[in-house]
Amino acid sequence: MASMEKRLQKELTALMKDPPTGVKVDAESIYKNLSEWIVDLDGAPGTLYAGESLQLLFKFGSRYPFDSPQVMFVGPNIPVHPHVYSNGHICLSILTEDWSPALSVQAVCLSIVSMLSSCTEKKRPPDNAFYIKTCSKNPKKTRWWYHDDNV
Amino acid sequence: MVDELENTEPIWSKLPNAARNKELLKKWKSQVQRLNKSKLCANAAVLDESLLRRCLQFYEVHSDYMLKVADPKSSGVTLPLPTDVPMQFAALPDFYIEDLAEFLQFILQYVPHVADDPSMDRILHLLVVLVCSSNYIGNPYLIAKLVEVIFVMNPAVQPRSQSLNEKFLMHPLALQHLVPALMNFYTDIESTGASSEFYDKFAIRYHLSIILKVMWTIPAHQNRMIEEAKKGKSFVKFVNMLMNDTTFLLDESLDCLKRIHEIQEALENTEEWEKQSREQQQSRQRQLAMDEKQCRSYLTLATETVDMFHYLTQKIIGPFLDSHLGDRLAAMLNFNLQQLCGSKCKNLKVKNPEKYGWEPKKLLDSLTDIYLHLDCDDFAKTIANDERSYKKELFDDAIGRMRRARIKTEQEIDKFRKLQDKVEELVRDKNLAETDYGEIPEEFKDPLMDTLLDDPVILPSGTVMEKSIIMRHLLNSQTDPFNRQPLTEDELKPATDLKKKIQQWKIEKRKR
Repeated sequence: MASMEKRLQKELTALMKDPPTGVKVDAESIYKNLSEWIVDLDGAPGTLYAGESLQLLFKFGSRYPFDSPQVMFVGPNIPVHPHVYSNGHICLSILTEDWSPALSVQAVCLSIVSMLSSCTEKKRPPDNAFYIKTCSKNPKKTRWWYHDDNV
Repeated sequence: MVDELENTEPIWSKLPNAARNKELLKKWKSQVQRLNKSKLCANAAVLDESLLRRCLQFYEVHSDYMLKVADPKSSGVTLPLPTDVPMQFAALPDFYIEDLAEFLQFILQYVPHVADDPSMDRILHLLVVLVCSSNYIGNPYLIAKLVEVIFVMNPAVQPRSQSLNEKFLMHPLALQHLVPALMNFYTDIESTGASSEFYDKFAIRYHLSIILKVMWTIPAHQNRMIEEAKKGKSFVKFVNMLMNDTTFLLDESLDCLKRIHEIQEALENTEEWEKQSREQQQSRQRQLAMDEKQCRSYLTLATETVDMFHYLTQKIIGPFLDSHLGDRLAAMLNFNLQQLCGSKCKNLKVKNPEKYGWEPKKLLDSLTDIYLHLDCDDFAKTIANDERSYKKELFDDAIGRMRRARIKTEQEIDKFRKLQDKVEELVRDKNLAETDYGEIPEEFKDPLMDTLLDDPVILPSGTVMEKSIIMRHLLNSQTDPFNRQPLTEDELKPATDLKKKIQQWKIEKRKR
């Protein structure tokens, strides 16, 4: 599995050296364990989430990058968004069936920032209460039914 | 429900809602009685043998008709059927097959002796022809239904249909075509288009694995499987699926076991347990019940897939060590061996393991057997490549455990030890080779995994990748990972010039 580590190392180096605006890797968390990353996101200025600081947790399985990582919001501030459940699970197709090994942590972060930025009304998904009671801890086990692509 | 309520009577009899519970109990009991009565009546009517025989005769004629429509010229005496599906067959509704399948399942389950009837010959013929002609049936769930019929007929499920099962498996067409058909179906069922496909496939593959297991015991079918393995491509796909499933299922079952272990521990420690709030206790109890259920089903499936590896590797080795499968297979074996033997294996200890079908010794036995079956230089190389789980101590541990559990002979353990020595030697060589090169130019590296290219290929989009890496991706999804365009193995072109350049560069680096 050294190859997976090589790939993660490369992504990490790139993200530390040249991070996109509003994305910061918590290097401290990664030194202990390369397969779990905490990434800090800042809500983009001029959007509903401006000024909010958010945290994403990435977990990489042994089949990464052939299999998508587990990605969810963690920490005190779970953004209120129609595709984000209050337990941090995110309904985003590139995290499951539309994943491609050519995507990366950076690409996922940018997708999530853009998903947040295009939001026009802060609210939870309609089935939030039911979902968080019944779902598995691992968001990848949810058979997502993508509500719509507009937000 | 009645049982549950009665069993908990001592708990609720003193509570205020005792009267209500008693009332409920009475109501449910009478309901059960009523339902029982109607079931008995229904049995008398539905299980009437002469009625069922007449139905069977009807389905015989029906099968005859289906065969004629599917193959107007020869009624499916030979396979494969004509490549162009006759319009008339394509126009038949699904239930022509579905009803037949359901009826067969019903009689096999409830009145198997009725199926010992000459009219079954024709029906079995149709069954073989349809299962082997998946291009004739668009709906994969329909084939899955037919597979289920074969599964129910299996003596492991219904001992009384043994002769019928033999008749089916010894059918001349089945001898020729059933093995590749079932293997392809095993692979194809990965995606059915339905939203529940991820879980559906496990049930269907479970049926298939039980059927294939019995077929493995029949020499003619076994030879066919070995032949199929020699042919390559589709067998590699099959093994890939088998491996994905085994990895997933074992992972899940072991995780479940760990959680069960945790909660059982917590329950033992009564003092701590009482400190938790009522709600916490209940939610953990619920979690336990859920894990127990899941664990049982995952373990059943996992055992079956490991078993399939076990018997296949007795006779077939080549495809398992295929360049893009071998490393993953070794990694999977090592990872699971580590789970069973490593320092964390205590977390897998649960009370009454037989309740979940958890037999760690047997699993260890099968896993180590697979190592022994595959034992050869190439296999040692793939183990050496696995840097995640493989450690010298892991094999030491495993050997210790095999001795203590007495599941292996001294000779076998010796063989295992030799494999370990071989791997150690390779690991040393590899460590030497890797450190040599230092900084590698970007264009010599694979864009996905950042490794030095060894056998580069060019994708139609112009991207250069390591062959084994793109091949591994293609096993999951037949697309170009960079632009999601459809992509197949045939479209990859070797990057000969680049390969030469890299080799040249390597030689120069080594000289320094």
